[in-house]
This record gives sequence, structure tokens and C-alpha cells, in this order.
Amino acid sequence: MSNFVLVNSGHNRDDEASKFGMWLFLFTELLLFGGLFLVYTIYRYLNSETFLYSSYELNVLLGTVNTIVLLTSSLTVALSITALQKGNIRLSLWLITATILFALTFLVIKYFEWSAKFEHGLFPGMDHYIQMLPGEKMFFFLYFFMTGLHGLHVIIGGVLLGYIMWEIKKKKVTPDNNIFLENGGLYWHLVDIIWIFLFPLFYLIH
Amino acid sequence: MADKNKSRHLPGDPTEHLIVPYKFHIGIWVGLIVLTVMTVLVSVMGLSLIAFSVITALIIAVTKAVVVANYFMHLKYDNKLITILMGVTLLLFVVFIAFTAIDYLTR
Amino acid sequence: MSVALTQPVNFYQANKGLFSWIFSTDHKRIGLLYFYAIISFFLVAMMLGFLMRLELISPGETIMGAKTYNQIFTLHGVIMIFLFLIPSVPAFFGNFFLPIMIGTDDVAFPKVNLLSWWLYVLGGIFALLTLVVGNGPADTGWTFYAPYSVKTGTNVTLAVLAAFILGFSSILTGLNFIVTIHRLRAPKMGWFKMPLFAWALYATAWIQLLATPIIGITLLMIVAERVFGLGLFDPALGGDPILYQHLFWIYSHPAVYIMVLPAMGLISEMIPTFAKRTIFGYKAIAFSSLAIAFIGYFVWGHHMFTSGMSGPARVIFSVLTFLVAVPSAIKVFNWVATLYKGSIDVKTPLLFSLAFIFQFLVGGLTGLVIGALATDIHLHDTYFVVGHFHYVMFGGAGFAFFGALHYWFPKIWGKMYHEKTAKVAFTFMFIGFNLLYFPMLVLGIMGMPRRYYDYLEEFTTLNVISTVGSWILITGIILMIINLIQSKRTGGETTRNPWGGTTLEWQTPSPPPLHNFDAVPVVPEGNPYDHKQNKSI
Repeated sequence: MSNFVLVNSGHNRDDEASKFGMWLFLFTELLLFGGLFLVYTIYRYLNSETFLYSSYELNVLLGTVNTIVLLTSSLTVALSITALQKGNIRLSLWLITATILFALTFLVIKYFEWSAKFEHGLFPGMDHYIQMLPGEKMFFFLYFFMTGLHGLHVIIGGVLLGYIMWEIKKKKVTPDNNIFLENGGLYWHLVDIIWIFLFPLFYLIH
Repeated sequence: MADKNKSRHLPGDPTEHLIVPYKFHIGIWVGLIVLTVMTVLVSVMGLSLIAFSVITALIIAVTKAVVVANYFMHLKYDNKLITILMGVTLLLFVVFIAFTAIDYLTR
Repeated sequence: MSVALTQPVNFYQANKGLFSWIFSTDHKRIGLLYFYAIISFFLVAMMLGFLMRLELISPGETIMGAKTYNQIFTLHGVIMIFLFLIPSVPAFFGNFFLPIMIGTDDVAFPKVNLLSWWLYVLGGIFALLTLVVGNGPADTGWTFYAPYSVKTGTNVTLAVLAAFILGFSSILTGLNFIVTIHRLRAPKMGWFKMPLFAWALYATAWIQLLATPIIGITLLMIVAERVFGLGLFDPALGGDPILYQHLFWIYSHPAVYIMVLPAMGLISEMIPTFAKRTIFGYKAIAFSSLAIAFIGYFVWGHHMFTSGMSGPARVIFSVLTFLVAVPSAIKVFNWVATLYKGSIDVKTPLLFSLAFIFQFLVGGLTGLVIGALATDIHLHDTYFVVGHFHYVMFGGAGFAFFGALHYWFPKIWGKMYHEKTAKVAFTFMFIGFNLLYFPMLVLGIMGMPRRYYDYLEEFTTLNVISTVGSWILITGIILMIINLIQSKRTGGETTRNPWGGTTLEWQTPSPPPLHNFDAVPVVPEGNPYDHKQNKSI
């Protein structure tokens, strides 16, 4: 068998390509949520009154706390990359652990918010929901769909970061070869950015 | 014959990363928290002009997103190409909303 | 490094066994995996089309009733679009040839490439499952228009999930190609030394990447509506069905460029090779691919002229639609100009290319007729649209696909196909195709609506001609496939460069070795289609 290998082989390690690929994937994620933001914009325009008072049903305090939790988790994951690049593996692992704990905090708060809505029967198909005005239904459907999809991304991001910790422990991700952590961080920041828009659009449009 | 260890990067690759200092990240985080508090206050203080509050909320959200992308995601220090392509993606998103809105605004 | 004298082991011989195929990360094997899956689905959908034409041979119920007919045309559309046209050229020819043509040994993310094939298979299984479970396949048409798609009892959820998964597969292919083209071109290959097929794939990849997420989320909303019984797109419950149409066409209009742009890239490869002449207007063709991809995002509303969209929006979308014809026309002009004063070698791939140009012109010009607001009011949802669409998609993309199958047959399988039989098959296909679809254009102008199993007496003659055309077309396709299978087994030996092509895939043995090249490929100075320079190499 010929062992001739090209210099520009696709099997070489290429951090730039990995990062570029991750960014392209993030573009698709942005547009995935973009479709929902489009639906939100149009239905908000068609039902501005009902959207307005529906938003009073949401708990601004919990939303704000969650925003701060996510922003802080973004900080810790950014710091963990710096730590790994500087060769401080222990600190890096601790910072990723902190990020995952923040992710769990976010999900727990989200859980309490959702269960409060469930108690009021606001989930699509429940008794109160069925009696609502069309605009309110749109609002709560979009609220559950968009925060639900976002929550799914939080879970995926947390699992991904957990896996990266495993790889760091197994010395597959190292200070010299940290692109996997950088990409994991990129994904995590994207989850944060989406929340940055979800928060004002649902909680703050009084 | 290309040796695997020697050809880890394509010719001309920037192999050295810029390492962003801890303090800088923390400074960015403080800025983001301040912006969050601002946007909540504008909303809760009940500025009765609804259009004003929506626009403020969106401006602050966009600012926060740009800060996260530029500094936490290192977009500012990365290849300019990624920023340009990000711009194209956002342009298309705006086109999708704007052209759909044309239909609804003129019905 | 000089050209190696010994023939290296080719990629078929490098590994053996089923697992070495279905878990292969070699782009050539993944390309072939796609090919066998794609062609199987094509044959299934072709048979569905055959049944539809058979039903339409006479008015009234001939072999099936309304519901069955609705389900069959839906399945025909879903399979042809999501499982044949969208993946056909990028996922098969793109996977196989893009890395070779830009002088590298694989795509940027080989494992992601394999994942995208598996997703394709999963999506295909979901699509086929709609046949056997529940109330049978969806009867909504491939557009899944709400609110009917939310209310019908047929397997819409499963079909929609299939489309969602296939969309994911398509996104990953596009992502892979963009990174591959940016990062893995041969050292001396600048952007404007890339083959035009690579340019076409690059433009296509951007559509796959940036348009597909919108359909993904839209289809998820349909699923959520069906599961939770919401009224998101149901006017009775305060929703707006036109918003669904917006979301659907934001993706699906650019998606028709996913289908036709790579096919245009194939034509740009075949025409200079068989005209033995440098392609006319290389940069114009390259940029027009990007222009089509870009403008294609601005015109989705022309599918909704009669849906209740506002007047000003209709006018704007109609004007923009005319813009997209400009880059397409630039391409046609350049292909024809390349042929002018060339020393033309009439081989089967060239015949397919010429048929492409002719049929694409018919499809493109009829597209302008329905892109114009006033005429579209008359022609919307008639057979004119069906005719137009098939002229572009089958007469265009399909014929380019089969042409390229002959063009690269010796490179992929290392054998030469039987030329005379191929020409006979082509003749059947060309005549059959035009007999099948041209009457549809006339029927549409006469006012025959699409998507009905029945029609008025006065449309009978043209429908009979159309159905007979479908038989001739299928005869041609079957003959072509038999010829290719036979040629693969017993065809004549071939060389590295049987056609005298100038792009890099012709510098490597046929079939290529595992790592694509046995020596550093020589990137031509200047234009990649410079036939004068090629003779000196």
C-alpha cells in the first residue's frame, strides 16, 4: 500500500479548521432559534396587548437570577480556557466544574419556574391554557418552546463540558491541545447569548 | 514524506494563541452584570413608554451579545473571516425578519 | 516528486468487508454509500411517479382513488426532494470528488461526514416507515402546509421528523465542505484556481448551512402542534397559516438552489472537457454561483402570490425573482460561449450537458412566467408549475447528475462504460422526458389544476401523451442503469485521463488510491481549464 501523504492532508491536526467548523455550527444554532424569534416577532406584532400582560405572569426576579447565573457560568468557562492555556490544569478543572454547577443551578431555577406555570395550568393543553385568548396561547407556547429548547441546549452543553473534563483528565485535552475545550466554551457562550435575548423578550417587555 | 508530528499545522498557521488574562475576563463579566441590572431596572421601574422600553431592552441585549462574542468567544482576536461570516449570517436573519414583516406591515 | 510508475492499491482494495464500508471515514467510500442509497430512493420515487402517470392516463379513477393519489404524490415529492435531489450531487459527487479536485486526501471532518451519512439513512428509514405504520404516508404534499398538515390523520409527524433528520445530515455535509474548501486546498491552489464544481459546492454549502435550520425549527413546530394540539398556524385558533408558508419557503426556495447549483457546477466541468476549450468567463461563473446563493434568500415570497400575502410584499418578491434569473443566464451564456469554436467531442456526458442547457432554459424561462405576478395568478397551482419544476429539477439537476455519472464513471469504477448503449439510453431519456413534461406546460395554461387524481375530458389527449412519455423515459433510465452495471463488470480498461480533462482528479489513477494521489498533484498555472497548457504536461 502506498504510504504517500499530502502536506495538506485532511487527517492532520488543524485547530483553525476545528474552530471554524464550530463557528459554522453555531451559525446554524443561531438561525434555528432565529426561526423562533421570527415567529415571536410576528405574533407579538399581531397580539401586542395580550403578549404584554401575559409577560406579567413570568417571575422577573427568577429570570434575573438565572441571567446572572448563566453570565457567571460564561465567565468560569472562559477562565477555564485561560487556565488550561497557562498550564494550570487543576484550576481549569475546578472552573469547568463550577460552570457545570451553574448550569445545574440554572436548570433547577427553571424547573421551579416551569412547575409554577404548570400549577396555574398554563402549559399547552392544560385546563387554564385552553380557556386563554389566542394571543396568550401563542405567548405561552413560545415561552415553553423557546425556553425548553434553550434548556435542552443547557443540558447538552453541560454534558459536553463534563465529557471535556474527562478528556482533560485522560490527558487527551492538554495545555498544548486545548481546541476541544475552546469549542466547548464557544458552545456554552452561544447558549448564554440566546438566553441574553430570551430574557428581555419574555420577562421584561412590560 | 510528511511526518505526522511535524506537519501538525498547515503552513502559515498562527500556531500561537493569544491567552486572554483572567482579570480582563472578570472585568468583562462585571460589565455584563451591570448591563443586566440596567435592563431589569428600566423594565421594572415601569417606564410607561412601552416602545422605549422594548428598544432599550433590545439595545442592551445586543450590546451584551456583542461583548460576549467579542471577548468571551475571542471573536475580536480571531481570524477576521469568522466575524465577516457572522455578519453575513446575522444579515440573513435580519432579511428573514424584515421581508416577512413587509408582508404583515402592509396587509 | 515524479509520477509514480507502479500502480498503487486503489481504495476498493485497501480494506475489505461490510464494516469497512458502513463505518468508513474515507470520503470516496462515503460518497459511494450515498450513491447506492440515493439511487435506490430515486428508483422508488420514480416508480411512484410512474403510478401517478398511470392513474392520469384517463379521466376518473383508473388505478387508485383520491387519497391514495395524494399520498403517492406526497411520498414522491418527499423522497425526490429530501432523499434524492438535495443530497444527490453534493453528497455523492461532492464527497467523492471535492477533496480530489482541490488536491487533498479527505474532507476536513471525516467522522462528521460518516455521521451525516448515518443521519441520511435514519431519515430515509423514517420516510419509508410512514408506508407501513399508522394511517399510511402523509397526504399533504411535500410542503406540509398548515393547518391541514396539523389536522390530517396520516403519518405527517413521522414524515416531518424524517425531513428534520435529513436536514441535519445536509447541514453537516455543507459545514464539512466549507471548512474543507477553506482549509485543505492544495498549496498552490488559490480560490480562483479551484474547479467550478468546487465553487458551486461552496455556494451550495452556504445555503445548506444557513437555510436548513429554519426548516428544522418549522418542522419541529408542526410536530409540537400535532402533539399538543396547538393552534400555532391554525386561523380558527388565532394562528396564521401564511406565517407557516413564510417559514417553509425561507428554506425551501433556497433549497431549490441546493438542488440545481451543484448540477450547474457539473455542467461547468463537462462542457470545457468535451469542447476541448478553456471555459469562457471562469470568474463570471464562479461569482454567479455565489450570486444565485445570495439572491436566492430574497425571493421566497414568489411561492405565495395567491396565498393572501400583502400586495406590496408580492410586488417586491416578484421584482427580486427577476433578479435571480440574471446570474443563471450568465452561466448559460458562458456554457454556450465555451462550446463556440471548440473541437467538440460528442460523448454521452456532453449530450446530457446539452440536454441540461436546453431543458434548464425551458425551466428557467417558464419560471419567469410564474415569477411575474399577473401571469402567476392564472398559472398558480396548475400543471404549468409542475412542468416548470420538473424541467428545472429533473431536466436540469437530474440530467446533470446522470451526465456526471457517465463523465466520472471511469474514475470511480475504473472501467469505461459502453458508449453506444449509453447514447441510445440518453436518446430515450431525452425524448421521453420532453414528451412527459412539455404537455404539462400546455395543460397548465389550459387550466388543469395540479394534485388531482382526476381531470376533465378535454385534457385527455395531452395526458395520454405525457403518460406515454413517462414509459419512454423509464425505459431510458432502466437501459442506462443496466448499461452502467454491465460496464462496471465487463467494461473496457481505462486510463487516468480518458477524456483529456484538466482538473486534478484526472491526474490520479482510476480508481484513486486510498489517499487519493500517488504523487503531489500538479496544480495548473492560471485557469484550471486551460486546455492548451494541459497538452504540455
